[in-house]
Amino acid sequence: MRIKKQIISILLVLFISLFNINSVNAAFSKDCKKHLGKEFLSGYLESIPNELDFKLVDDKGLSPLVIKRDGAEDVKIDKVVLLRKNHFRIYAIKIIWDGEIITHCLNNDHFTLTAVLVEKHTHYNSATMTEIKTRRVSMHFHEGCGSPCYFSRVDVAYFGSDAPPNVRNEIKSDIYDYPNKWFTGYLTLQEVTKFMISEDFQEFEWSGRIYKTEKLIKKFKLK
Amino acid sequence: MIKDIKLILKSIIIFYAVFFVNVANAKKLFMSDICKEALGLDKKVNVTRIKFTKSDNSWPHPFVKRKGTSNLILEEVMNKDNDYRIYGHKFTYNGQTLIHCRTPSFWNPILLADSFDITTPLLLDEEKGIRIDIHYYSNCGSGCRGAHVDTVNFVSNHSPFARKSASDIENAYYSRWFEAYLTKEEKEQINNSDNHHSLQ
Repeated sequence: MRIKKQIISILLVLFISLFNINSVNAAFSKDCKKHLGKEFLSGYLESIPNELDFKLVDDKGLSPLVIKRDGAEDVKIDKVVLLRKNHFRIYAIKIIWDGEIITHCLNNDHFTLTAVLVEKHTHYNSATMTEIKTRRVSMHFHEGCGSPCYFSRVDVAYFGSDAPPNVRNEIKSDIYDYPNKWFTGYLTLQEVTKFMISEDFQEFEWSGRIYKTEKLIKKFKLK
Repeated sequence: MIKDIKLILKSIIIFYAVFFVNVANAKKLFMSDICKEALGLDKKVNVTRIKFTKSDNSWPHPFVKRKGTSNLILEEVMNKDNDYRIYGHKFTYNGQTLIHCRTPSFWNPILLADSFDITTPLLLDEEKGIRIDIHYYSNCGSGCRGAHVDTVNFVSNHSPFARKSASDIENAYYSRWFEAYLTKEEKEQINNSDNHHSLQ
């Protein structure tokens, strides 16, 4: 009888540890948590949702251009949605890398995610003086503020550093500024051409020069 | 008696003259909210009463001017009202002046002035303006190097203002966004200034 109990306990411990190995570290970004909390308090959500409540979606309302730089192809970007009581939707981006997941909501109905840049990143820990190879995902938003609207912002998700994955706002325009000049300035000419095609801009300024999108399409053979 | 009346009239005229000059100056002189916070001032403070003197730093900070910003005048200033010094910049453009300063944890500024045209929503008015991006080294603890960018805006005849526009605490000095936006020539200009910059 005693041996039987011991075997059961061992099996139970094994099962729990196996479950833990297979489980992933999933979380909402800070902004997303805040937004979901507000929606719950205002009665649009019956309960605070978890990551599993967000379902994969293929919607024109959420179709950003995703640019993955060399060495960062292992980052998975999923477009997800949560249906609210009144049929409104909360869109979010689920970013998955190395067993870790972070879900970042589009925290306002007037926000449109227009581009996602995925790249390798080296995090330097100043306390231990060590470098950690990680991934960084920059999300470029068109901020809705009426018609026509020009505001922009960039939120960045950081993975695999000393802390769990997290999202921080790094750029916020304060006057009419769309697309964000710093974001487009950080892209290569080929990447920025892809972005201008997706946003239907005929010409654009990059690195102090004006470029015609049509000419660059031919140069980079993008169509 | 006549002498007294003359004296009273003279005093009234001087009082009104000083009052109107002050009002006129107050409408042209602005201080950013960030600067007021750095100085520990209330947002509604009378800006003309705050004393700024010429900065005592040894060499000027790098200042890159792009097309359309030649009328912009820059002065490096400081305030000594507290037991420490608060450094800042005084920008004058088209008759308007804005003082923008920084807290002691932000230093070694690089300034980039650029012009822009915007079309306002709904009214579709064309407005011209200039913006000055000020990139700082932000010290965020032991061995930590962060970057922070404040942007000063002068838009047509509206009151100028400044706001934080970018920040990066992930040991990212210089800000990758700011660095990528500069042209090769601008980086050279900044690196050649006597401020120990090494933009790539």
